[in-house]
Amino acid sequence: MTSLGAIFKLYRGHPLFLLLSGALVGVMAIIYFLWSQRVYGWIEDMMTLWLIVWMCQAFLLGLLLKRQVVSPLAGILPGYRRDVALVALAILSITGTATTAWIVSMPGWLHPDRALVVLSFLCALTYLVTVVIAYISVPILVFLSYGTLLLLVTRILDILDMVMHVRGLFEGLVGVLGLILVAFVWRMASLREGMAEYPYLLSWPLYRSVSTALSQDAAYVPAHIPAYAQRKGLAAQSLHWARIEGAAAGQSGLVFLGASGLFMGYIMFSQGHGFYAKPYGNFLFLVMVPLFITLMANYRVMAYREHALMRPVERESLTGQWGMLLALTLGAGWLLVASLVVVVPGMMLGISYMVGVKIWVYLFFTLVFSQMLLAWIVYATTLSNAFEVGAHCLFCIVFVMGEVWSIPSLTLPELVSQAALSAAIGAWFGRVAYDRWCRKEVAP
Amino acid sequence: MNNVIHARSVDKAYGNKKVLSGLDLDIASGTVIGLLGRNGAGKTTLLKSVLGLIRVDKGTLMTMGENAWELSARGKSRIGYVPQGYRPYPWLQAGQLVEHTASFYPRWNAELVERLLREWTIDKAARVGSLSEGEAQKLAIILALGHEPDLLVFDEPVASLDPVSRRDFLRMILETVAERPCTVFFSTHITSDLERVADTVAVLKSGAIDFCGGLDELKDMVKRIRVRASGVIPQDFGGVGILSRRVQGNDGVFTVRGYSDSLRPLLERNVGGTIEVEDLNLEEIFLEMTR
Repeated sequence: MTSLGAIFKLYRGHPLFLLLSGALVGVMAIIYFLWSQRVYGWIEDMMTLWLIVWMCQAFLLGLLLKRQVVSPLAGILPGYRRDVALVALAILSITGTATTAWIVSMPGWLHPDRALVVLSFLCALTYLVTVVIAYISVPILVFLSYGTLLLLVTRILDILDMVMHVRGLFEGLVGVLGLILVAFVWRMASLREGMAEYPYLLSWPLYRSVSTALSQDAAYVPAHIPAYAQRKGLAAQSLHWARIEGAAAGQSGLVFLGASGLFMGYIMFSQGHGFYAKPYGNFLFLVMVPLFITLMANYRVMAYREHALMRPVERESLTGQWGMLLALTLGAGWLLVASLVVVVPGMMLGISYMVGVKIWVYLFFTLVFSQMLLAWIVYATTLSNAFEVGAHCLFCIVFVMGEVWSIPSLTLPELVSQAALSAAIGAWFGRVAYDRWCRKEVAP
Repeated sequence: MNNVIHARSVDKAYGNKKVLSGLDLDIASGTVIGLLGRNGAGKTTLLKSVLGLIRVDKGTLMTMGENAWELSARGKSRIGYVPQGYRPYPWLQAGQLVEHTASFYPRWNAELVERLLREWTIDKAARVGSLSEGEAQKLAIILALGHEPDLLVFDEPVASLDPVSRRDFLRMILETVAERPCTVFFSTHITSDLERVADTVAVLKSGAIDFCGGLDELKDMVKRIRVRASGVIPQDFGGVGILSRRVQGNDGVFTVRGYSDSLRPLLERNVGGTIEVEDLNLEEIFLEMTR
């Protein structure tokens, strides 16, 4: 039988797991301090941060568990899968227990029992979804992330508020969570060939399963690929790459359809709860759709950089073409979102409400910031140091949030100049990022 | 100078791990050169550096007369490359991938490509992602030949091919070189294939080229010598150039590098017994040189 202690060591020695655990404890300590000092203004934001860290940790736990489940050891050592499932569950329970102790230790906390259940439910769900995620294709993964993000941007106390007002939801969540966890441990412990989930659990890595899935006939393919050599001009050459995206266009459509559905849900959910008055929630929502569409559409072409770099095109030109391709896709994605934002809330909430919450301004800034965020993402992919990537992401989030927070108090000239400055920084940074990306070595 | 590839004192490291170290290499135009080396010796790194996909840390590396890292569009249009595990744009059909690749090159031999697609039974309507490893490799080779490059670079080209396709591939290389001036630079572990097509062999060891020259030159240089001496052979018998030794009493088997015919009478005088000199095949030479 496998030693449970040996499996525990796998987590104990994992630097990212330790980092996230440390961050989790740190944020909890800060919230406790703020609560005890009655500095309530920041607590809601810190709670959001805490939830993000916890979900990241749950996601990582799921990934580590997945690796252990598909490891060759799991097929050889008797009881290995049962042990790794138990250890992972134990780690989740330790986090849950620590959280319970933490919340209970803060006197006057609003409905701690229900808050705990909602939070635990979200984390456990993330964890479990990650374990079987190898079967799920990238678009579904993106939708899931997007759904999670939506929950986050509505801010955690609002979710709790909602839960407390919906009859039966609390009991339902408790039941579902319990059932999922019991079923998970039971199935993992007795996993063997022939069981329904077996092939899905083994279809690792994610990339392979996704590429195989996408190679099927469902993908859209252009009927004719025009000659690159005959195309003149940056935009035309960029469109050449866009043509070979093929299936990616279909994927982007899926993202858009999914996002539309989520958006409708968001509007219905938020109506009457005043969520539209929350600037960064709206902003994050709006900015993410064009970003997702762009990244999903272009990633699939850019993933074959080795192939593209061997074509008779100079690096400099390729940088420009791909940069232009991303900008064009971003523009198209933004237009789709913008139309949706204008039509749906316009019909459901009325134009005066839209003006009141400055939705137009957010929409405008979405275009500016998504370009900058995109450049940041491309830049981050050229970094190999996880801490450097983390620092960049943190800076990026703080920078964007800072800008967004200032929107409601800005006058029109200030808004325009701020947007112009951001757009200029975004364009320059985009150039630097794509250039760096094209100059990145193709690993052997 | 008519070198297609020219490398001088090339260094490349990944973090603390040195992969290429002081590498010198010259490949003349029209050469078919096979690159041998153990796993992790740096073969792929060298090939990718030559193609400008990896930037070397130090030294000079020129491909087709240009700095390898800054290859121009014209320079790239003269190169055909087949990487390991080739499977780009899996959602495209094989025919569309051909169309896409062809669209970059003003000079594209559609007739040759069509013929090879037929001979190698590649279904043009099949998705690239659904092709088997071998089929994808064949497609990669066809695409690399379509624009009739002056330099063909293959990284383990036959690893996924069945024996028939392997033979076809080798025949195709020979035909390509015979039809027009073309330099072929390829890495492989299958030494028999290398013997069949290459006129030059380069052995990569410890990040540097340990040997680069004609196949016959290498075979003449590395020999196995069986010694039956009149007395006991000392365990440290031999000197510089001994690649391996196995001594037992009066008998000894030595593999030497740098063998010449003048060595034989010298040995016979020293050991006072009989000497037998054996030829080695390329695989044996490779094993001896890289052990």
